[in-house]
Amino acid sequence: MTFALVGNQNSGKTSIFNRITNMNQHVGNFPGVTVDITLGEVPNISNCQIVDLPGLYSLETYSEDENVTKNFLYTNKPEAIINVVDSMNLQRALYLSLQLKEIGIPMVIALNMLDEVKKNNGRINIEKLEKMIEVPIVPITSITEKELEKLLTVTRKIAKKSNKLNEIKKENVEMKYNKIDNIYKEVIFLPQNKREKKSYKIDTILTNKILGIPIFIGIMYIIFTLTFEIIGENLSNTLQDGIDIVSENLIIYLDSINCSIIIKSLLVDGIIKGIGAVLSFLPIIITLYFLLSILEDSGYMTRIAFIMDRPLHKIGLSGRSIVPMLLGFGCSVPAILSIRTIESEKERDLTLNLVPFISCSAKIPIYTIFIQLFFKENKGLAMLILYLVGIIIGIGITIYIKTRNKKETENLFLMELPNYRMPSIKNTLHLMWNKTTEFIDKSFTIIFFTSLIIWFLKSFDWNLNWIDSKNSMLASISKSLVPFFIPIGFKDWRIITAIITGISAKEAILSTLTVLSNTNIESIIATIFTYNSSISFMVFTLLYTPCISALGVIKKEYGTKKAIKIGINQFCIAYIVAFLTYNLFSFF
Amino acid sequence: MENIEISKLKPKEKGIIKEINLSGKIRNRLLELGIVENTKVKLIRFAPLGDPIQISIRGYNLAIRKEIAQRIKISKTERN
Repeated sequence: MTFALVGNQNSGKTSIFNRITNMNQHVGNFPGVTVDITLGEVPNISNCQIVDLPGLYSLETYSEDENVTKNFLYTNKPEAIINVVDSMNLQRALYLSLQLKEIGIPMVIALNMLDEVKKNNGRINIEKLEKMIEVPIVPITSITEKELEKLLTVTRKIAKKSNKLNEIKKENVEMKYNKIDNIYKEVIFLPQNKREKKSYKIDTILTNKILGIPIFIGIMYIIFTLTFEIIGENLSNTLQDGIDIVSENLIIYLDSINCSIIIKSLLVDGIIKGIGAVLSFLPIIITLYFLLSILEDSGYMTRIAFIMDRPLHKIGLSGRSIVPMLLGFGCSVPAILSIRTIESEKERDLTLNLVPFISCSAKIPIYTIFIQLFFKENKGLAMLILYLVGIIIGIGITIYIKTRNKKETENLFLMELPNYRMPSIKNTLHLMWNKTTEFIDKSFTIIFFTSLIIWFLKSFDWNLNWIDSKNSMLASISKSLVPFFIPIGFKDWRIITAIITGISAKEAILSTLTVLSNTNIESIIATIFTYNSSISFMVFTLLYTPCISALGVIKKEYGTKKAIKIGINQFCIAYIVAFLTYNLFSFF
Repeated sequence: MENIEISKLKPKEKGIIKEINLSGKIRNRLLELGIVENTKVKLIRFAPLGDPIQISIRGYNLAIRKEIAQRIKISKTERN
């Protein structure tokens, strides 16, 4: 048996889900935060599962996110719908309830947040509401054990398999709202809304005409400094040291048991390097996503979208694009996944084209080492310029695509600004964990396996003889490609190899260079790069084809064609820009 | 009194929705969010760059672009 949890965004649906299943899952204060369908077992009822569906306002869907819910209901035909309704937002919530009722799946309403109504000296006549809407209602004040038990008992009683579902009529929305107005007048008395008042006050500062944008920039500055300079980098370095110690000890141990050289190389260069590459920048991602989750849980993220909608709309994006853009500084995978909450197809597409240009955290070690070697005097500035080059070129491309695509776009930026709430540690950690696991799920396995494949290609020749990397399959492929890269200044085959492995994961670029030389990374870079080609290389890595994990997510969400197109486009753009920079700097 | 565009209101001013001069998908979406004729609406504020605007309707707050807001006409009610 399956129960589906359906409700508006911010209705408290996910909290109920968590309490029922005791499973860790998050509550979002940003519309459309639950992107994937989450399942849980219902305790005390055998063979019964409960599904948490993305929040939506109506069954006429606009964003991909809302589609998920509708499709689930019609395809999976759950035995019952538990419609979570926020009592403080009864009017709009009832619209969805009336629609859901029409489908014909047995339904019960969980009337949530009644404690809030009480706090505002309000009252709801639940019996009357039940009668008028003709759906059983279970009141929920603070999601207690007892209330949930009642909810599940009622749901179980009404649950029934429906074979034929009704299509939602191309209906008269006004009629439904007339009905809702009548119900509302009869059943609810709500003299005030304290949280709304408080939010209003907070917003007079945070979205203030003069202060709003500086505050946003200030908050971003703090977040990035904390992430990249203070917490993230130190943690990353510590982890990197730890990984080095593990691999050194492993080598000593393997030598002591006279392990075969192939196994030793597989373990040290293949597996530990692969895992290490991911682990070393995981702290940056976790820190960034923790801080962004605080913004999301508090409700401030929607205000950022509100503030930034105008400038972003000018270049064809939406205020909502700010979320994928910010996530993109960590990892493109969760960034691309979050694009589905944007309602307009055109804005979705443009955001998708922009996000890969935002330099992800896997590229930081590359810049750091090159800047250290070639631009010692202006480290901070050089880093900033790189990030800006990525963003500016991304925006340029976005504007170019926007002007070429003349198709009239639906102007669908309609975003609820939920009342602020104190971000709770639990919710924030859940939000952070969801995004981080998206990265780990999608990237980790791919990075791990590509490390193994690269290890294999660089360790054997075409006849599968164990061989020095200079004569490996990988070397022979790379050497044949060198002439193509000479115009942008890459004359050594090892650079080409690094670029190829970088498509598997950007963190593989440095490790490839290390593995292919018998010295340390600094000296190999100093040998095979000049001042000019180092700039060209940084620009090229910044812009070229996203890693396989990112392409995989694009394929999954927007199709193979799109993924190939973005992959090829970015390669060409990177090549052109690297060519221009390389030759421009050669003049001086 | 003549109906005016929502976006012509000043912050804290209220009105009652009278016309929604839009069609298709966008119109339907607005209706579904409760922006239907004879509904009370209050303009809360403009975004720092003047667009979008924040309105309060049916007990919740909604951000809406000016382009759309200009197509929604209201009759202004007394300020309070």
